[in-house]
Amino acid sequence: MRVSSTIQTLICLTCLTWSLETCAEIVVIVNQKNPVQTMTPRQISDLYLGRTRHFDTGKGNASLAAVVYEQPKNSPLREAFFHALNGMSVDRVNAYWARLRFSGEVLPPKTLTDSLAALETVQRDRNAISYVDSSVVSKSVKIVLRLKD
Amino acid sequence: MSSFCKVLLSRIAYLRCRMLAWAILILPAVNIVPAFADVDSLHFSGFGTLAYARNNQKNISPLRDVTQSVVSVTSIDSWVLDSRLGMQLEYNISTSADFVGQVVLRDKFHANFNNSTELAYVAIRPHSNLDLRLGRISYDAFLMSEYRDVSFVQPWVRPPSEFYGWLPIFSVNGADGAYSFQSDEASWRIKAQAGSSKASIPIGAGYDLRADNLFGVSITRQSDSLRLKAAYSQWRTGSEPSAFTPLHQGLDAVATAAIPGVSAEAADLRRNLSFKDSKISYLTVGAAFDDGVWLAQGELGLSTSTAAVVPHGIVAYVSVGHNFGDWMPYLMLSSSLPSNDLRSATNDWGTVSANGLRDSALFTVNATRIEQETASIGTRFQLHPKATFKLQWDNTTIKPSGYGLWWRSIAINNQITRVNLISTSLDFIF
Repeated sequence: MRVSSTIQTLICLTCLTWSLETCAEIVVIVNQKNPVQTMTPRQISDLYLGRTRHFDTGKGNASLAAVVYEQPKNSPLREAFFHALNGMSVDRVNAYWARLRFSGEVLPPKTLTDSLAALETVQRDRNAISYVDSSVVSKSVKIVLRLKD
Repeated sequence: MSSFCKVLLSRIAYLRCRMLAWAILILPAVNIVPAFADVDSLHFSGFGTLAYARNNQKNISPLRDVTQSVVSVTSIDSWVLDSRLGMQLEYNISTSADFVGQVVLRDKFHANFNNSTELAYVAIRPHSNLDLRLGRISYDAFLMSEYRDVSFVQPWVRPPSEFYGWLPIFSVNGADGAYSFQSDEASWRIKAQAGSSKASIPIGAGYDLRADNLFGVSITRQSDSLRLKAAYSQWRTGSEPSAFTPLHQGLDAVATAAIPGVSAEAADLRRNLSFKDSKISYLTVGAAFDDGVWLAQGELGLSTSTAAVVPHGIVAYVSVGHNFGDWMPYLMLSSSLPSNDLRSATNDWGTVSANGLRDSALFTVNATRIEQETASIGTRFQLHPKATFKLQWDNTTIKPSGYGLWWRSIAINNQITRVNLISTSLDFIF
């Protein structure tokens, strides 16, 4: 009886966690000193696919180089991010970057360990861009796009 | 060649195959990646393919590319035709400079560390739109020429042989520069490269092909799902195969003998049998579409050469695939049509007792022609985000004197041959 209730509790907790994880909002963040206020999914997709390497700071302004930071390769957050951003599966993203990496055309973004590391890095680096779960974001960084999977 | 030498050579080839097989099996499993991955500025990664191919003809064996080692024509199966292992080390010097080194182990005639090093360059980005690379860089001529070893990113077991098989250049010692910009809904990349290259080709005891004065330009347009590329590349051959020396000497002697008709024919054959100083050019357009459901890709290429002995002509392929979950069945059609007509004797060289020389020269100049077409059907299965399994059936029809991409018995040279090739591969990245 006791074992059964423990299993039920575990199942409920797992479902709740899964539900929260899949429904959570993902926010794309930049440094507070970055002049960019908002970005479109396309602009962010271009940065994360290596098609551009600078922020669009508007006409007349000097371009600002972007340093893109990724979440761990197998993280659910990364999977949800690309799905919400441009509809690409992780398999396609992996193949896309393998083509660019091994041809020497463009090297992939640096990978951070988790959302907290992303937050700290973006706080420190004026050129940085990354994405985190909205539950961990703070006012120390600027949100330029909100994505819901 | 003495039997001892034959045994020794076959033993070396056997050991090389075993080393490649063990490296493919063991390397992804060892814990090298995390050790480097923790170091921010240093990154180790790689790709590999473990593949098996079997054909139904006992007098012909396929080549994936012309730099591969000699294979017995009676061999009907192979583990090394498509198997390979690539390892890449990246060092981030600064936010605007990197070093990249890449070594690829694959079946190769005269393999050594130098010619297995496909990439070794320093890249700098003086501006966010500009990339400059100096060192050993990838050869940018076709849609896939920069990553034709990386089967994981391709839908098929191998790039279509008709299009890529006769291309001896994998990398270039030199420099390139790429300028990227955004326009409307697309990214554009304009690239130019210059340098030289080398390749070992199994002609006679070995031919060290030197591609000098290499120059190329390309333009690529990438939108959401569609990639378009047009490229032009040219180079001049800087070396001659030593195996051709007796033939060249004989033809030179006949050409200078001032025999009406015969000397002119000998001079023409001599010119067309000269690798050295021949100018080769490639002009290609390609398109690749991938929206995650449908995949379509095709290329059209025109190559020219000032010497008939260097394979050249019109090459093309088109492929379509559709994703059903983790499975992607595909079809591909590819074709190679030589620009040089089949040569035959126009004069009797009996006056100089050289009909044998003439026939040898004609055989050699015709032997490198590539005239074939292939229909392929296959499927790719996504085993893991970093691994795929593929199964492919190729049906190739080779026209008379169009066997430039096959090890074959001379007896079949003037006939049509149909070959069925079944291939399976496990492709991965790490």
